[in-house]
Amino acid sequence: MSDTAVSTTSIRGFWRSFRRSRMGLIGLFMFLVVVLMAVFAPAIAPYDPKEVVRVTIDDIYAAPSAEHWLGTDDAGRDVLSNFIYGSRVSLIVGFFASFISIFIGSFVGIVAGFYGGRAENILMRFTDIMLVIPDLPLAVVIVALTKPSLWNIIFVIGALGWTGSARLVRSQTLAVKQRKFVLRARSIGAGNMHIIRYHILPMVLPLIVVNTVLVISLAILNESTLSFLGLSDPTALSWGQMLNFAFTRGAMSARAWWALVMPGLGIVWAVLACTLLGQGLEQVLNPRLETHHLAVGVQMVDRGAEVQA
Amino acid sequence: MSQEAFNLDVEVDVESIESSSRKARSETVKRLARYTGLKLIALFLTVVAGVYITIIIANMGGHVDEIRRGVIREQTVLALNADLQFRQLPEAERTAILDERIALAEKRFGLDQPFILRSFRYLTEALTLNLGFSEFLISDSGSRLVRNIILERLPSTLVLFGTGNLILFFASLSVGLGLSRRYGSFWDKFILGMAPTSSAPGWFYGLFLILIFASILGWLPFGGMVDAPPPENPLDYALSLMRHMVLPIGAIVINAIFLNAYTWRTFFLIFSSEDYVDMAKAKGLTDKMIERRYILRPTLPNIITSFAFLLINLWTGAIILETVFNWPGIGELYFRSIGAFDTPVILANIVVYAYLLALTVFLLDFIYALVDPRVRVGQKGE
Repeated sequence: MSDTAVSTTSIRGFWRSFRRSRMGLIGLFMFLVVVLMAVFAPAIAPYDPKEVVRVTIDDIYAAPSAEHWLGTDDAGRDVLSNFIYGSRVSLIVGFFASFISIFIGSFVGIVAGFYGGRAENILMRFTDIMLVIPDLPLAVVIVALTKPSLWNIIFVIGALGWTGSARLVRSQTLAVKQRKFVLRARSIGAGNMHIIRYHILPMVLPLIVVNTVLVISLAILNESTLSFLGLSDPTALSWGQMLNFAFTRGAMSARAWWALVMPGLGIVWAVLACTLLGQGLEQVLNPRLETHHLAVGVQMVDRGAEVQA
Repeated sequence: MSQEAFNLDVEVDVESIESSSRKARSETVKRLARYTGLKLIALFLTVVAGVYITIIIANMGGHVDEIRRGVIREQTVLALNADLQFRQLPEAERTAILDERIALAEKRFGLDQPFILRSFRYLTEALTLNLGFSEFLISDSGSRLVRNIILERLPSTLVLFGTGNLILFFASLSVGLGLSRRYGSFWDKFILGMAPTSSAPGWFYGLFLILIFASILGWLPFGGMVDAPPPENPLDYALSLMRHMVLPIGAIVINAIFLNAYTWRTFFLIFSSEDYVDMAKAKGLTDKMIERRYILRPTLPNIITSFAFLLINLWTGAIILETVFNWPGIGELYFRSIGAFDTPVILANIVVYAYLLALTVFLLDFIYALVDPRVRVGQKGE
């Protein structure tokens, strides 16, 4: 257990500690696969989904063949290319929406936890109110009212998913606020902003990072749910949208399992990747681990020395 | 440390102890009552605020009024222009009749009042569950009362999700219990490895179940609640119902069972390493008795919490699951109301959800205080 003591204080130490968690490594691998697939989509995909193509009836829901490795969907498009390009949309929405959620949540959490008093009360009541309103129905209502563009979806998912992060960050901020070094900093005369930036934030940041990964998986799920219900941008073919098209356009009756399995698998892969990665990161970064406070002591005493923790 | 503390000859006054314990009990009751009262008020206010925000959002801060006005105008003009007699009237009269009709229609929808005032009226109506009339949807019995529309579909959802979640609950409990006895075995690792599969939503598994069992194998129906036309004989009806329930319940169970079983197993392991369990074993109690009395009992608060949140997720998860399986329940109703943009029904749905959530949270606190003797309620500010 010696590595956990020096875990967060250097990149190499971090990697060494992270390497121990098998789940984390699997998650990282899966995550990288998806990201690389999205980034290099034009190079990997055999067909361009934006290309105009003439289709005949035989091309609709064609079974997997040499030309179309995963068959075709309801519009005669190659499922494999759609799948690869679909990862782009799903990931973009997932990332951006989760960044919005994390940003709002962390802000609310830190302010509420640090300043306490009336600000905390108001912010926590507001968080409770947002919790009482069900996410999905409200998201559905908002998206149904406004134009279903990609940015609207991102904004809606982001604006409705911050409550969990807010609570987490607030409880962590409260815990850090009690620590002795904050008290000492105050006694020297450190101002609020200084304490937040140099003392609270570094301790809360690991938790925020772990939480971000989980929120990304939730955002991807939410996006696919909204797309499946038909409320997403119809021109942005995300995995959820592929599922929607397949489901509502008779893939079941046509026995076209490829049109359903592939996007579904994509969603599960991405969500699983984020979940496992989050678990792996948590093992490294979780401030609740007893040895974490020793890490600070080790650095102050001897850089690079292994400590039997 | 005064001398009295060591004085064992103090006379024990039974009466004063009894009366003081009575006083203590009434103190506790008063404390509990005040605590629950405050909590109730706080929760209610939260629900009020949440519902009001939803009303504002669902009406886009009054913008939906403009949309409605436009629709009313268009429809009135079209309807009147279809009438030959109307078209023959002089211009001034036509305009007068048109304006009068439009004003009437607007009054019917309440658009003659400013939105802010109407929003408070909506709020009080929603909170008292006076859900009003729907705009477009009609219940199967022909009623337009939102209450009837919802109540008509409630049993279907309850049957499906009630059964599904009960099965899931008991299955994951027994699997978890079994796993806790076999710590470190193959099954333990297997369930642990399968636990992340619970991150995929239930409807997702539903899609695949339909694909495999209905589309490819053809053993079970694609969806719906009963065969069409529904069988006359109640026994056949029940059988048909059960046949249609297999796949949705399968989806519900597969979705959550691995994670739940693993969670229970962890809890049981934690509690079975407590000292009172060792004491019970030393006393010579059978394994079954130990499990029942000493291990299941402390997990009760956690069980209840997760069951409560299961019920809550039921409400939102129902939307897609029911849509996928074409199950005529509340979720599908909600989905259709979104498509038709029937605001009263949408709002009714959200209000019921908000109330359910608040009620569950409140009951949870209460039950926690009752079931767990370690929880002291109302003292020291929490």
